[in-house]
Amino acid sequence: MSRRVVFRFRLYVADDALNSARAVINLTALCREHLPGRHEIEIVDVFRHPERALADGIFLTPTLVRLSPSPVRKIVGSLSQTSAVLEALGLEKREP
Amino acid sequence: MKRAKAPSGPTVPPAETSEVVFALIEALHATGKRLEELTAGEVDTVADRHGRPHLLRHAQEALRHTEAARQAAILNALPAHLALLDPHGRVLSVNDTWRRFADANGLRSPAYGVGLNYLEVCDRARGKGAEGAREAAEGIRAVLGGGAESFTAEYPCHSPEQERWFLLMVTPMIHEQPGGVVVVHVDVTAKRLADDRLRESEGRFRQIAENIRDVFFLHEAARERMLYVSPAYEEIWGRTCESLHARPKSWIDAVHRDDQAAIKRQFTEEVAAKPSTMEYRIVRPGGEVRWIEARTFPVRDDSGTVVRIAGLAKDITQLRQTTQELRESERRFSDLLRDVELVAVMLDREARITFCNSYLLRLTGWQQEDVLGRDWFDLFVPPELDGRKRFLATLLGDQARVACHENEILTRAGDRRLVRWNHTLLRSADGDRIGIASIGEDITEQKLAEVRIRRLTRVYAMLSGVNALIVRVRDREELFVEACRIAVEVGAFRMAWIGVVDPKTLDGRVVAWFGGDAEYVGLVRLTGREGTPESERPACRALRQAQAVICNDIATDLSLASIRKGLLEHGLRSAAYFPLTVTGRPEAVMALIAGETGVFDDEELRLLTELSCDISFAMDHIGKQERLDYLAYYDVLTGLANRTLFLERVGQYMRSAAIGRHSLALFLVDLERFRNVNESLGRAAGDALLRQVAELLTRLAGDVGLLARVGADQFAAVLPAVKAEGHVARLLEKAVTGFMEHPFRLEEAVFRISARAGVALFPEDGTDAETLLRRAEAALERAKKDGERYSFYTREMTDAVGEKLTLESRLREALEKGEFVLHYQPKVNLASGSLTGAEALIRWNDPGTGLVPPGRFIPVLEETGMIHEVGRWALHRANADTQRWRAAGLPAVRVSVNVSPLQLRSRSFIDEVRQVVDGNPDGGAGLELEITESLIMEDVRHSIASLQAIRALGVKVAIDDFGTGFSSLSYLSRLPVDTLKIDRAFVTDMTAGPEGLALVSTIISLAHSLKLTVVAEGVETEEQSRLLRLLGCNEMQGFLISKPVPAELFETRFLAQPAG
Repeated sequence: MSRRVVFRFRLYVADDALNSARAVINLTALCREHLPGRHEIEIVDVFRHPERALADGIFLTPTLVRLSPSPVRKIVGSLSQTSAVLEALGLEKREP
Repeated sequence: MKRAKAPSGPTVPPAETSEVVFALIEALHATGKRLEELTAGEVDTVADRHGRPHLLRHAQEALRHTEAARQAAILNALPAHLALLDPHGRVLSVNDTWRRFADANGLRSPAYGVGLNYLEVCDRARGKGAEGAREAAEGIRAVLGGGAESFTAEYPCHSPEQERWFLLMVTPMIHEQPGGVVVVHVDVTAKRLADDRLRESEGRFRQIAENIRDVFFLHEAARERMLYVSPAYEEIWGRTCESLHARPKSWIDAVHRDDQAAIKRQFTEEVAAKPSTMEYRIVRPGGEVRWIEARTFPVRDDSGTVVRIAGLAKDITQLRQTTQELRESERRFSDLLRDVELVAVMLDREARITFCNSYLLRLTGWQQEDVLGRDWFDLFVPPELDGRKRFLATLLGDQARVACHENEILTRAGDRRLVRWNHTLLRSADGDRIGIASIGEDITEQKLAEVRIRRLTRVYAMLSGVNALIVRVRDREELFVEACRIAVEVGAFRMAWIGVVDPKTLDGRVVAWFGGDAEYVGLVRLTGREGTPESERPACRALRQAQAVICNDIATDLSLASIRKGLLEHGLRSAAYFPLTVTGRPEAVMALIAGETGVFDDEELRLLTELSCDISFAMDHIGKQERLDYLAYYDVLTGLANRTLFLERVGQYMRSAAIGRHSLALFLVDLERFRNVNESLGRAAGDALLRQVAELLTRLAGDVGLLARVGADQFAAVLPAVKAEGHVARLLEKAVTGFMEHPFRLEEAVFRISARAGVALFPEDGTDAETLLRRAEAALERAKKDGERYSFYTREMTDAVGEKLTLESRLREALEKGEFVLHYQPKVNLASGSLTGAEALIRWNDPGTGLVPPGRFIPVLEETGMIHEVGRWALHRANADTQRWRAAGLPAVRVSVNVSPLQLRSRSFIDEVRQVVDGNPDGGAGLELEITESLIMEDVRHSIASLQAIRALGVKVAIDDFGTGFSSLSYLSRLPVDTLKIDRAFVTDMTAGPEGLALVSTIISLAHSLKLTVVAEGVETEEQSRLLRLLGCNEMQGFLISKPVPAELFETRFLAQPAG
């Protein structure tokens, strides 16, 4: 049942700044590998939509927000350390 | 989870401002550093309290690097060579393309010229590109100084391998602000080459315009003047271009006076507004007129007004002339159709007449306006021929392109003409069947003449039969019965009867008849009295009036009304009644009744009257037992006619020979040593010998009526119709030999008697019987004197006959000794050139004189009948050669053998062919018989049967010498043949003119429509071969390929190495 849960992410980036670009690449790679067919990613550029960052309380980019499954979680950084990210997202224990 | 804290706002102390500022900067630095340390360099922006993001420094640097790299990438990716120059013209940097170009062209200099002054380099240039380089430097200086917005120039820069062109573009580095330039070199070689090609092709086009034989011209419509003409003008117009250019309006003067108005109109703006074509005449300075075809096209300005007329003028004088000639030839052809002595008519699909020639009108008495548009069947076809419309439908629906038949047509007056038709399907240009075209030959007279000649021949035979009868008959009854039988069996009358009248009562009855039945005979009433119901019947009238009465159409003859029905039911259509008169008094009447109408014409009547006189004479002499009268005409000893009767008969035969335009021969035969027989054996033996001679002669002649005893030991014979040259000679040979070999028996002993003959010919030697007999006597005298077995009255004749007989005996010898050989003439496929067959031709290899041409001996073979034997030999020989070649594995080509008319007529011929075919492993395949067209046509029905039998054996049949008669076309579709050989005469004529070509073309398409293979004979030139190939002829033979060659040569030259 839990395998069918859809992960919804929102990633706040600063245009194509180095860490932001890395975060996009890392996130999509991670989703493709661990959440195939059950993820949605929305990317928000803070230079274009500063009001959304303010509303969501985002002060640093890149920041990944896990919208579902609840609870909401935020991870700052380029998402380069995969195992830490997976753990933070609650996916690590599913891997053998 | 990591979180960065927002920096707190700085406070500024009032004193020690610089210290404060410095500390603030320190703090800021530290904060930024700290922030980056805190976020481990993982964060790009930090937001202030208003949510505005601020890039951290490392992120800013990364971004700058990225931007610079992108721009460099763009510059490097450009195909142009780029260099940035500083305001002094020094090279600041170059892109990758510049470097690659430098590398590839060996221009590698330290740092690719970066740091060098580009202007100085250009200024220093020497040699070929120096001038361009200085120009470039000037342009760059202008842009650098702000004096020009930009500078472009195209310049060649050829490498040793290829020609190259570059485009130099110089633009300021920053617009509206001096401070260096961008120098771009683009390789435009490809574009430049394309431009050059275009220029080149334009040049060529111009060359064409200048050299073409037609005239290009450009005309200014508004001012009626010629602006330009191409040089061909001088050739066609015979005037110089300069003269026209000097006086641009003079072009109209060259136009023919009669065409000037039209041309002026044509060259007005309105008329020329769309493309048009016109033909007009010009007059050259020498007065020569030429035809010009001009096509014009309007040339418009932007507003659409026609400002120029462009055009192309062509000299079509020759073309028009050719067209004219073609029309002339078409006209001649239709004139031919109009004037030919044949019916020509065309019908549309509804049988309406769309064309007819004057011959039809003359034949039928109609006027053209009465005929055109009318229904053919209503106007011309006799009502009893219904179903003819169906025939038209069949014709229109049929695939066959030619159809033939004979039928009667009605004239305006209601007469009938028999026409033999050839129909051809008419097709529109799209191939739809739109009607038929028919050519018809009026064969009415021809048919009548045929019938008449047939009838007259029969009547002569009848006359001769009755004469023979008269000699031997001993009583009246036999005379009557036999005369009737001869009339029906020989004379081909449907019925004959003879009735006699009692001289006292004048009543009569039929006493003899043949060809009818008793029931019919019962209808006959005969009386010599007047005023009875039967007195006006023709038989009775003939009796009473003592003259012949003719009824040429029983159906309409009033005098026979009472018995007409019975007569018609018996198929009797016309009749003639002849009184048989003894000593001036009619004692009997003879009726001759025919199954056709109109049988009794003058000629026939004359002969029949003669016949009735002969019968009357016999009645007389039988009745009165007057032997003396008989003796006046007959030789008592032999029963043959005497000199008087013979001369009378010869006279009769001469008349019919004159009518039939044939010769007649009179023979006088003299027995040798007859006197010796008489003297040594006695008169009785002499008489017996004479009787035996008479019997022998009768057997040889086949008819006692042709013989007479005209002297003690002299007999005469007449040959009423000499059939062919050589006929007489062979008859003589036969008779003389027959005489010599015949065993005459006298008093139990066998005697051989020889005879001599003298011959006179009608009409050459005499035109009356007496003269002819005297000439025969003279000829006989000479034969005696010369010691010849026979002699003609004319010595040349004797010589000719002798020569012929020598040739005959030589040919007989040749056949025995095997002096005949077969030569083979190859036939090849016209399309592929490959060998398809050969014609086997008989040659006589006379050891004395060498090869004898076939024309000299084939006719003799046919006359003597030796053709049967030689023909059989040829068939076997050709077959044996063919089988030998096949067995040797040589190509199995078809070999054709010529068949003589006599062979085809012979009953055993088919069996002979069957024997040959049965002996072959592959039957009749590979064998073909060639039969001349004229022969087949002689007796079409029999020919068809024979040809079918031959083809049933697998043997192919070819029609030889095709094209000798128009009539044959109509039979062609019915003939069971495979191949048609076009006579050499047509092949020769083919190159002589359009008619000859058309004829061959027609024959070929006709043959193809009948699914026949066509072989052209006598092909001697390449031209003939080419035309035949164009016409679709299948095969050819002739000297062009090879003359006939001996079998061995044929084998090595053509079979072992197939012609290809």
